[in-house]
Amino acid sequence: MEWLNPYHLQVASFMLINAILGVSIFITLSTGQLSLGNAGFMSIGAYAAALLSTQHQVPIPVGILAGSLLAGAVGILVGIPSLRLSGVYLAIATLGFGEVLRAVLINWESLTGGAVGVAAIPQMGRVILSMARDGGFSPESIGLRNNQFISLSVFLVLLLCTLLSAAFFLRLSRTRVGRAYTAIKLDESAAEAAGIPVTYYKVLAFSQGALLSGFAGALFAHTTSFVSPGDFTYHRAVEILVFAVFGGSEHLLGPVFGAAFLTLLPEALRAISEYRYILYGILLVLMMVFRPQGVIDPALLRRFRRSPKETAA
Amino acid sequence: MSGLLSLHEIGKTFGGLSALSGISFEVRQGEIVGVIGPNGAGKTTLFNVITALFPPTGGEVRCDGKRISGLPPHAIAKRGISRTFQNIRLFSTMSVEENVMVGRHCRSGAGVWRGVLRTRGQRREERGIRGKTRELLELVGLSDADPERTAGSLPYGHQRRLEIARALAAEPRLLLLDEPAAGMNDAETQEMFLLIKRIQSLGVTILLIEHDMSLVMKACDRLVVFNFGRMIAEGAPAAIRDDPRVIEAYLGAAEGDDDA
Amino acid sequence: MFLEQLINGVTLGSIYAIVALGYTLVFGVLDIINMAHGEIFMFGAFVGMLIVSKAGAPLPVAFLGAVVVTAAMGLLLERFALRPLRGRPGASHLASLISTIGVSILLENIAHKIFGSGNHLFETSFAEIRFEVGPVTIYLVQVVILLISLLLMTGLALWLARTRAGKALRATAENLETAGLLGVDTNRMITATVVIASAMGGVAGVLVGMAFNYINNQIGLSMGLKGLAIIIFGGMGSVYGAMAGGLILGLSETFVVAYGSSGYRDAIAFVAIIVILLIKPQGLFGQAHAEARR
Repeated sequence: MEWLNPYHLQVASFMLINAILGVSIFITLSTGQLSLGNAGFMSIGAYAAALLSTQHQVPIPVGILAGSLLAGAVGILVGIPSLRLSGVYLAIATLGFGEVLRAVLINWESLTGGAVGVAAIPQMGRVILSMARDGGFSPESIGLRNNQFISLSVFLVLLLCTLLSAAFFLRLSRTRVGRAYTAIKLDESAAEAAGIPVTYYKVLAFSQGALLSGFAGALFAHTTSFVSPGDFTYHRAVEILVFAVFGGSEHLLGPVFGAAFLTLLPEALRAISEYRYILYGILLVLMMVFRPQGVIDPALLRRFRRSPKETAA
Repeated sequence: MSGLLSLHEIGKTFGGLSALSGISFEVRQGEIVGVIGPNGAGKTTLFNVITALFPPTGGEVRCDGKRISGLPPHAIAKRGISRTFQNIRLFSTMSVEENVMVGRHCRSGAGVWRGVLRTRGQRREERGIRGKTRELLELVGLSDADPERTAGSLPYGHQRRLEIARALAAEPRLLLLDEPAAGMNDAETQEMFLLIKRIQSLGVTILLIEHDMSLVMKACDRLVVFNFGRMIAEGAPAAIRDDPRVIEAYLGAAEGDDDA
Repeated sequence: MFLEQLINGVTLGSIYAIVALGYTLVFGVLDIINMAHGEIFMFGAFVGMLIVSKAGAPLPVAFLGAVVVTAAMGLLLERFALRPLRGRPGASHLASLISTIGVSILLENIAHKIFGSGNHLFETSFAEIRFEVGPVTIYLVQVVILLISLLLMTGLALWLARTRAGKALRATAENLETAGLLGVDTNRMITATVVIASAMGGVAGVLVGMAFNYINNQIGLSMGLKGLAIIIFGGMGSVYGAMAGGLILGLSETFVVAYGSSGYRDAIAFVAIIVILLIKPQGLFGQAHAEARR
């Protein structure tokens, strides 16, 4: 069992959290809204879950649920006035929302711990380990060291969460609601004239994206056991957008691939770690020059699909 | 008895410029009413006002005696008024089939959860939507087109037909067609005429903007004539053809604008 | 002291205005937000720092050096990260946004590699020279910054309004295709715009060094974010909006810090744009075009 390296599992765990973030920006983008507020919504989920578990001893799953719902609710509040904006205006206003939120996190010290953040958040893997021990199970019995068991259980929980999120929205995209999203993205007025309540669906997609970002944030808090305003900066907001555009924003698998690949890349470049972000920057430029639609686009997916007609439902 | 659609003193201004003023007429159940007039007379603006893409600045629109002006566009679609656009506005990267399915939106109801969980009711609804879609594609003569093909890749004439199918998917009682035969040759125009008549025979009332006069004269039960944002004449096609005011509007426009 | 704060605010605001002008010029012509502008600005500051503090050369040389380097960076940016995307099918607005983000990541990390992450002193020979006008203390540096910014802004405004090249640029901003049909070499105009905008960023970099006496590799990001906020606030592509927006932001930051809390200083810009966007979505000086927001 030596191959189960906690470090590799941790990288894989971050890939999964980023994949959820990738899906979250994809949902808002799929109605044509470019939001850079996802880092902000992520911080809401992360802080809510962190504070609930450290200060009120709320069980982890409940805290994660509450954090996600809170982020989704704030998403509705931000989404409604954002309807008046589009394109870069929306992008920068939502980026601004994230920055204002971060200033609040830094300054509201009594609640958030200020710039230092919240520490000693119960870590999912450790909690699972102690529950397993209470149940009379010992990792050694299946040949795992404690830290291997911890990392592995975090990875598996995140894998489950990622698969569920992706499956949820992949399924949604092939329904009446998914068709409405695409129609709105392609031509808002025509969609409205065709009987689609555009306002409702845009706010719905915005808050779904916010909720999922909050979910990723809450999972992040219980994975790292430490959150601070530095985790939710401009860089995070841009990184999430890059997942979607690099991977391809026409299909849900695009941002998932983008998140996984771009999380792995700097780790793979560790040998030349001094230059890895320089290479990362160059890669983004080259990608936009040679494949502006991103790695995964519908044409690529069609080529992979063997049977000509997809079996529906 | 009031008609299916009645317009009372409709006015529309854009930044102080009057695009429509004092428009009042009625469309009765089952009719095909033609809206004609030179370019820039306000015909498309009228469609935009009725469907609330640009709400009127004055007057009111009634459907079945109930006021609909002030409602958002999607609510008007739900009340049974659908339209096509002069410059075809399909969802170009969606498939032929999906375009029509989108049109079905306001006649179906499965939301996020039922959609994701694929409940029995949702699956039945989706089957119904697909069935209706096939039926409509056949009606407009697109049953041979590959339903998986993207709408934007269809030939021009087929795009016009697809847009009509999308509008019909909402089961409108009133269909607004904005120059359905624009850019078509004689044979295609004749097919469009037959399609319009077939739609009428299904009980759909039609308001038609069209520049092709022979199509208008053949298809319409009644005509209204627009010039400079006002309605200058209303009546049977034969009477309109001989109306001096109409002739003057067209000739007057033809002097300055050879496109009219 | 109110008057002193006012002077501080105007000084800061005029630097913000110059940074914002760099964004607004490029947006006006290309409809692109150049996310690398903040980092180009930062390189201007570093080049100025090397010339003034390390080589001990006089300030005008620092400006010249910064302008040359940042103009060259603008040229490279346009040639390798913007032009290849132009007119490409499948290249949406997002593509140019991401490619300039790529350049900004690249530049930020090159700067980190060369200069590290610490503060670098930016010493001007006259940093301590000041006048007492009544009860008010004015630093010579502030006067120099104000003069240079004013000169730059009037120069730009005159150039745009009066010269042939400036008019061609405005025509290109109005409508790229039409300008092309009228015989304007649009590729050259676009390159010129990006180069001029970058060079202005270089000047702003040196001004920031003079104003704060130190620089680090974070100033690109913080100034960049404020520049973005200002152009939204003032109206995208509006030259006067950028100037007015810069001044308003500089003043409000200074007064909030002086009479309120310093913790929220960096959030003011964004609170301001969120408010203005909700009241007047096209910005303070932006043109209303209902159709464009469809």
